[in-house]
Amino acid sequence: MRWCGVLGNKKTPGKFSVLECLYCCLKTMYRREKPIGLKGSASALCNNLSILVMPDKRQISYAVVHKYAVNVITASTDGSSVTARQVICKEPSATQGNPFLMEAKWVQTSSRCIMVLTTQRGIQMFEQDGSAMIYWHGLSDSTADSTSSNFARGIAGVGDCVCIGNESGKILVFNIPAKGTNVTLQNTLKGHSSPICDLTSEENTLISSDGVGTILIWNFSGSDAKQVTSISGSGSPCNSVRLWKGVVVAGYASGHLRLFSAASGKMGAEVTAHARAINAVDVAAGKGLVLTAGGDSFLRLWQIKPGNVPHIEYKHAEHVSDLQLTGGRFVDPQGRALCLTGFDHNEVVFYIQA
Amino acid sequence: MSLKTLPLLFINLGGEMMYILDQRLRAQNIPQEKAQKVLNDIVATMFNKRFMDELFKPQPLYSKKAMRTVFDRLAHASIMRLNAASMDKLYDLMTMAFKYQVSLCLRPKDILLITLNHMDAMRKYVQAQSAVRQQVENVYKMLLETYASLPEADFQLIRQTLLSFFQDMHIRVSIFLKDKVQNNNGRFVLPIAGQLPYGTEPPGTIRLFDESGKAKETNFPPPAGNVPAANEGSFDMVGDRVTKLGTNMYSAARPLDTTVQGSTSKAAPVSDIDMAQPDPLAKAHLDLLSQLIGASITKSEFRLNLFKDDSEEEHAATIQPIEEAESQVVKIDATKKQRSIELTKILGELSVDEGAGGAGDSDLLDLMDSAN
Repeated sequence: MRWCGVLGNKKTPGKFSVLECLYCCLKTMYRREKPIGLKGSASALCNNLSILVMPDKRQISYAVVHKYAVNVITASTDGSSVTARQVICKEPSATQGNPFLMEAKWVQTSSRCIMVLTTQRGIQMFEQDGSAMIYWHGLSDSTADSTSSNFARGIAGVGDCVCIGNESGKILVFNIPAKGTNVTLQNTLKGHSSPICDLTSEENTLISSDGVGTILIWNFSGSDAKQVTSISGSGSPCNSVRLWKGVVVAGYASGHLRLFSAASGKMGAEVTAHARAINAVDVAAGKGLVLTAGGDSFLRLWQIKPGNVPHIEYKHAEHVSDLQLTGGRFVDPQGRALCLTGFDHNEVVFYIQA
Repeated sequence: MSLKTLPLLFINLGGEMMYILDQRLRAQNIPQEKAQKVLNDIVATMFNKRFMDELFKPQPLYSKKAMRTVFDRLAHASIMRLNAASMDKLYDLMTMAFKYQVSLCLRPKDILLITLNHMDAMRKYVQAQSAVRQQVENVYKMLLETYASLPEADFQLIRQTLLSFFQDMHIRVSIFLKDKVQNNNGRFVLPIAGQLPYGTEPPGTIRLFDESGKAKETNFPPPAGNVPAANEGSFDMVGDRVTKLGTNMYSAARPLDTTVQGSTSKAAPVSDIDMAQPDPLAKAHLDLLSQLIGASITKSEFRLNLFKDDSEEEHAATIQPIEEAESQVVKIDATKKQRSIELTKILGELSVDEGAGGAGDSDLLDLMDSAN
C-alpha cells in the first residue's frame, strides 16, 4: 500500500504522486459541500449532532447543542429554504440559572417522534419541532449531597419507550403516549457503575456504554428489560455506540474503534482509529458504512462485514482543518451524504459522495 | 457539567497572570524588591487557605463576568495598579493562553499536568517566602487529593466544561500568531499528526479476530508523523510534567511579545442567558476575597502597563474601551439590578488610576514617583 501522508496539506509534496497515493485516490470519494450556518457554535460534547429526516415534507432538520440552547436548522432537501430556531432549556426552578445541556436528540418511538434534551440537572422532552415541552424530569435530589452534578446523557427509543442514562449509571425508561403529555417513568435499569455515555437501539435491543468503557446489552419486552450480555472496557470512556444488524460498533476516548457481536459479546475487530478521542460514531443503515469523528480533526469511514465475529474494512478519511469534531451523522441510509460538527464552530459541515 | 472544574480554571488563569505580570514588571524595570512584593502578595491572596477551601467545594463555574471581577481584584491585591485598558489586555492574554492549553492538550488528564506546570512556576516565584510557600504547597496537596486519582471520564467532562467557558472567545494574540499556532480568525491551528496522548496507540492498525480469538492484522494509512508518548508525566509535588503546556511562554527570548490584536470583527455573539445567572456563590467568594485583600493595602503603589508604552495604552483605552466580547456582555447584562454595591465599587476602582498616567511617553519610574 502506498500513501503520501500529506492529507489536507497540499503545500508539502509527498513521496508519491497523487495518482500513486492510495490515500489521495480514496480522498476523491467524497467532496466537501456548502455548510449550513448555525446561530451558535457547537459545544464540546460527544454526539453533538442529531438529524431528523422528514421525507414526506422533503425536509431535514439538524440539532446542535450550544451551551444552554439547541440550535435547530431545518433545510429542504433541494436546499432552497433554510429555517432556524432555538430550543432553550428552561427549568421550573430558575434559582440556579439555566442548566447546561449534555445532549439533544430526536427519538422515534413506535408511535411518535419527540425531541429529548438532557441537562446537568434533568431531562426535558419536546414535541418534534421543539415548539412545546411535553415532559420534565428533575434528577437533582435536594436531599442528596451536592458533590455530584447528577446529569443525564445517552438517549434512545425502544418500542413505546424512551431510555435515558444518567451520571450514576442508571438508565431511566419512560413510556411515551402516542399523544399528549402523559409521560411516565416505568422502569430504572441498574447495571453500570460509571456515568452513561451513550445509548443506542435496534428493534428490542438496547445498548448502553459508560465512562469506563463497559457496554451492556439489554433485551426489552414492553418496558421490562433484561441484561443479556456485558462487554467490559479498558477504563477509557466509550463515547459513542451504534448497533447495526446485531453488530455493536463502539468508539472510545482512547481513539479505538471496536466491533462486537451483540449476541455473544465477542470482539470481532479492533482498530486504532484516531489519534484523539472518538466523539461520534454512526452507521448508514442501508449499507453498514460506519463513520467515526474524532478530536484529532479526522473523519474516517469504514465498512462493516457482518458475521458471527463482525469484521471491518477501512474506506476513506477526510481531514477537517482545525476543527475538533464533536458530532457526525449520515444524512441518508446509503451513506451518500454525511454531516459533521466541531467545537466552537457555528456551521454544520457536509460531505457528499462524488 | 463537572462541578470540579472551578479550582483548575482559577489556578491556571492565575498562573498565566503571574507569567505576564512577572514579565511586565521586569520589562518596566520595577525595582526587584517591589516586583517581588507584588508577586508574593498576589500568590498569597490567590492561595489563601480559606479562599482555597471555598473554591475546592463542588460547584458550577462562575459566569465569565464574575471570573473577570475576581481577577480584577486579585491583580490589585498588592501595591501594583493597572488601568482598565491594561487589565482588559491582561485578562485577554490569560484567558486565551489557557484556552490554547485546554484546546491543545493531548488527553483530558493533561489538564492536571498543565495546572502543575503553573503551580511549579508559582512556587518558584515565592521561594524565599516560607509562609507563602507553605500556602502553595498546601494547594498542591489539595490538587493531588482531588484530581490525581480521578477517572478518565471525569477529566473528559472537566475538559468539556472548561471548553464551554472559553467557547466563542477568539481574541488574536500576537505571540500565538507569530508562532503560527493561531489563525487570523482567532482559531487555534491543530496539528494533523505528532505527539500522541499517553495510552493512545498510533492510528493505522486493524486487528481482525476469528471465532477462537486469534488476531490477524491489517493496516490503513494514517497521516505521517505520529509519535507515541513515552512518559505520562509526574503527578507528584515535584517532577517532570512532560507537557510544555502551562509553562512560561513569555520567557527571556521574546520579552515584549504580549500584544493582543483585538478581537475579530465577526466574533460570535455571546449568548445572553450566559450572563443572566445571578451567581450567588461567586458573589460570596468575592466578598471573602475583598476581606482578604483589604488588609494589605499600603502607600507605595505603582502602576503597571501591559502595553509597550503609555501612549499605546492610552490609545488602546480610547479605541477599545472594553474588551469586545465583554462589551457585548455588558450591553445585554440582565443582572445589573442585582449587582451588589461591593461589585460596583470594585468595577469603579479599576478606572481611578487614569489621572496618574501623566503625559504620553513619560518614563514609568516618573509615574511611580507621581503615584508615591
